[in-house]
Amino acid sequence: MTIPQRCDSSSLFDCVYQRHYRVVYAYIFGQVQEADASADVLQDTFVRVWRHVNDLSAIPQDRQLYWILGIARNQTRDYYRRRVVRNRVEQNYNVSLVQAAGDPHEELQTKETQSAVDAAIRALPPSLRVPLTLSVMGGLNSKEIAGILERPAGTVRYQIAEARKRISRHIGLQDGSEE
Amino acid sequence: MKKSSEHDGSIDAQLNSLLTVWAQSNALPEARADAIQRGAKLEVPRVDLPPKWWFGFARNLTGALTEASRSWSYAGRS
Repeated sequence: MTIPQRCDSSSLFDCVYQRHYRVVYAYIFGQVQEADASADVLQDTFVRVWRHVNDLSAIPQDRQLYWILGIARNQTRDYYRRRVVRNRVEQNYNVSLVQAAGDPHEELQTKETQSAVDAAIRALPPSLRVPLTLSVMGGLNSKEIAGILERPAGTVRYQIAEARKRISRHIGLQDGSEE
Repeated sequence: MKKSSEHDGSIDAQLNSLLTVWAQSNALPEARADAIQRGAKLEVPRVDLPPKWWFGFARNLTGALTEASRSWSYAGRS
């Protein structure tokens, strides 16, 4: 789907949604770490955006994402307050694992590797996980992430590199003694 | 030295590929994204109510018009 450069007032919501939902989802997922729950929080976020669409029209286009992420941050906090402690890890694995065609041994190995990657990302502290998720899932560069997380771009680059190093170590791509 | 950088490059490439698969497997499905967009718009957008004085004014105006219409009605009969 092509995203227009500028959004006119009649289709403002649709336009803003198409432009930003992937980044907002990546931001939420970086904290919530569950696909279904992240989609629910995304929905709550955009319901609020729609309710306040008149306010949105008054915000400069280059600030709209930050405004939406502010709502997403509050919705994520609400989600944590509401959440009943439960472990849905296995359920998510079953839904989201990429199927390897053909060789059952290869399929099993792919599943195991993906599970290991998933576990490694979950084990990261939020300060490393959120920048990584915005980069990998949201497709943003370090400068854009820096704007969202309100920290220097150099810090974001360091955090992403550190996250990658920890994941590599966790899944055995890199020797743990390397520092 | 060269061997080490080649090794690092290979690790980077493997990790990139694994992270891409991870991102794809956790991405929001298009159908869900469309449903969220449509669903949000079923809610009623917030409408800012007019200020309080407006209600007082409207009430007074309605009262005055009712009174005036009653007066005209009596005037017509007599």
